[in-house]
Amino acid sequence: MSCITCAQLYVAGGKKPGETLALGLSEDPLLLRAANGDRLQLLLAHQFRLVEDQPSGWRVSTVAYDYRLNDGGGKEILSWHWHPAPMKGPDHPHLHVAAAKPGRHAHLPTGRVSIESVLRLLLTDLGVPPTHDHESDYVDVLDASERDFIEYRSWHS
Amino acid sequence: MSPVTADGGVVELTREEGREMLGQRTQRMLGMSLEEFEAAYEADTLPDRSEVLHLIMLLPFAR
Repeated sequence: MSCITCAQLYVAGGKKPGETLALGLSEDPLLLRAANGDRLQLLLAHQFRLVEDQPSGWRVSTVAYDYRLNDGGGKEILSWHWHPAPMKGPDHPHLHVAAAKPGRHAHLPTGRVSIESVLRLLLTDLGVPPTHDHESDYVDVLDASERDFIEYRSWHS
Repeated sequence: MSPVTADGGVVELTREEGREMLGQRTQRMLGMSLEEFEAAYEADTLPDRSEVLHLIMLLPFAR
């Protein structure tokens, strides 16, 4: 997240291995401004578990996610969701496109989407500037971080 | 709040801190206290709004 904001990433504490933890941003929504002046909002909620993975130790296993992109007024543009049972809705990862047909009610199937890929979209396609600390290396930082997700994910559609 | 990373970019919230954070968000997004939100979640009576899923995903902060 440091590629795009100085906001902190919160993690729910006090949990035991196997219990569901959550990630969220200290600023919710996170206000962003694209290079062309467009204002955007990012909302992020992510659930995961720590899973024992012998012999290497532990790994993080995603349980569910909600990554949402709003316009500057808070109107939803896109949402990437994965919220399998017991949560309501389809079990497969999907995308909601609120601003175009077939409308927000449709669950457009996707593979599992990483946080890094959403940040990459913001930085490279939507013109949100990287933070000062990562002006020159944000591509490498995101690639390196996403590599673990790709390598250790247990499934991908 | 306890920093998880050396730069302080990731911080761990205690249950009390998490409940305060989530309560502010349920109030702002839905006009409900955290207790009202939890009760409606348990009773399966939460409104059909896009903000609800976001808040449900953050419930581990309150547990």
